[in-house]
Amino acid sequence: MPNPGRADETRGLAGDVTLRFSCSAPQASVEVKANTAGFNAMACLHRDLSGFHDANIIVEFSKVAWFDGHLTAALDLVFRQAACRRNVVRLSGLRPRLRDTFCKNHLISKRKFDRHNTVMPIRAFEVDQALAFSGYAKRHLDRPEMPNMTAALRRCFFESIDEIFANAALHARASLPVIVGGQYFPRRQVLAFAIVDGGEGMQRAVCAKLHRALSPAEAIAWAMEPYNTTRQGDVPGGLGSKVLREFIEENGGRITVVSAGGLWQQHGALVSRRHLAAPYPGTAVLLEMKTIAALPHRPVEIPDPNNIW
Amino acid sequence: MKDVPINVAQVVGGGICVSAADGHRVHDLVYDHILAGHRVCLSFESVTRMTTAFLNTAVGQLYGAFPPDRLREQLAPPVCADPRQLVQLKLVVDRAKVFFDNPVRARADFSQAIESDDG
Repeated sequence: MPNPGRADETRGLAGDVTLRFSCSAPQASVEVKANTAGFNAMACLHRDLSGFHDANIIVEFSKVAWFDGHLTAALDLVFRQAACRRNVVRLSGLRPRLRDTFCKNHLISKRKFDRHNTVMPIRAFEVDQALAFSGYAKRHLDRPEMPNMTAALRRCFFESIDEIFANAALHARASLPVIVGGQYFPRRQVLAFAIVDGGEGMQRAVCAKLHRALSPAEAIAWAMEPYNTTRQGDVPGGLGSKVLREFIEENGGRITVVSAGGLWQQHGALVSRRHLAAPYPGTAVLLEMKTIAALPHRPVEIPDPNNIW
Repeated sequence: MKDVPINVAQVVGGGICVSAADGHRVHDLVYDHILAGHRVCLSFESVTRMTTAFLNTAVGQLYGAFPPDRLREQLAPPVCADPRQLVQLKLVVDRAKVFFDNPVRARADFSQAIESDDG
């Protein structure tokens, strides 16, 4: 079945509605990255699209000079949400470089060969496909282009992204699949990965758990604290974020979590949070790790097997 | 007490132990043996990737069904677990003990969590 959210580049037709991406940005040319401005642009596009049902919509990208490859997974969710309302979304005004990015990352159906082998194209997984996801991540990331990682760091990275997927699968409660994608940036020496779900977002679950009103950013901050979990019942939780955060602190990279109207970010050991101009339609977790990881693993005390239980 | 070895990778069907659903399969097997009064020895031979999500369901939830003293008696030291897997196991077990000892504790941590530096 073709991807319902996949948008093709097209020219405008009579009767089409045209929306401009990043229309509120003052600059003539914008770069979409994993930051507040980038997610504001996607969230505002979702807000604008939300008013339409059964419509032919053209999203105009002429202001966009750069779009981080791994963020195409986050944009794909916006298009899928629009497709759920039976809209047909097409893209126009793509600069050549942007068209390349969207083709290589499979955001649009036109394909382009990734001769540098730096792309993890977008793929959708159902929540019970953790094993398939793990194989996908291994196939696309465990390769010679990902240099200078110690074996320990490499394993830690893979387990970290498995943790993100497991958390998305456990908490999303979404009818849409989990969307993943990634990009290796050789010049920046950064390996970036995105896992996106179209679920209810963290705010509702956290507020229900705490019986208290929190902003979206506050809810993410709570959920990212080690040992905090919205899970109730027979299975404990709250460790995935601990594993991830320790990994990022050690690596010096960055983790960004966007859920509804909040953005939470940890860069190395520094944490910040922001409010978005409009709600993003789900939760996106972005992992950006440095591949120049000459950093030694922090020594940890190895537990005695006789004293585990 | 009968000793029962359980090879985690064999139960899961491979060395990738990442999903909560696979963790449930390990859990159900261990649970039955403990209920039967056996002593279970978990082997992590051939396990190449493992998440806390898997371990929470595989072993963490045992602490909601049995008291820690009983589990200490009926779970043998894990074998073939590498240092990182031992760290993960210990993390999950310690977390499970706290979780089932006081499952609403997380609520008390709330104030500290949201007081972090606003950007």
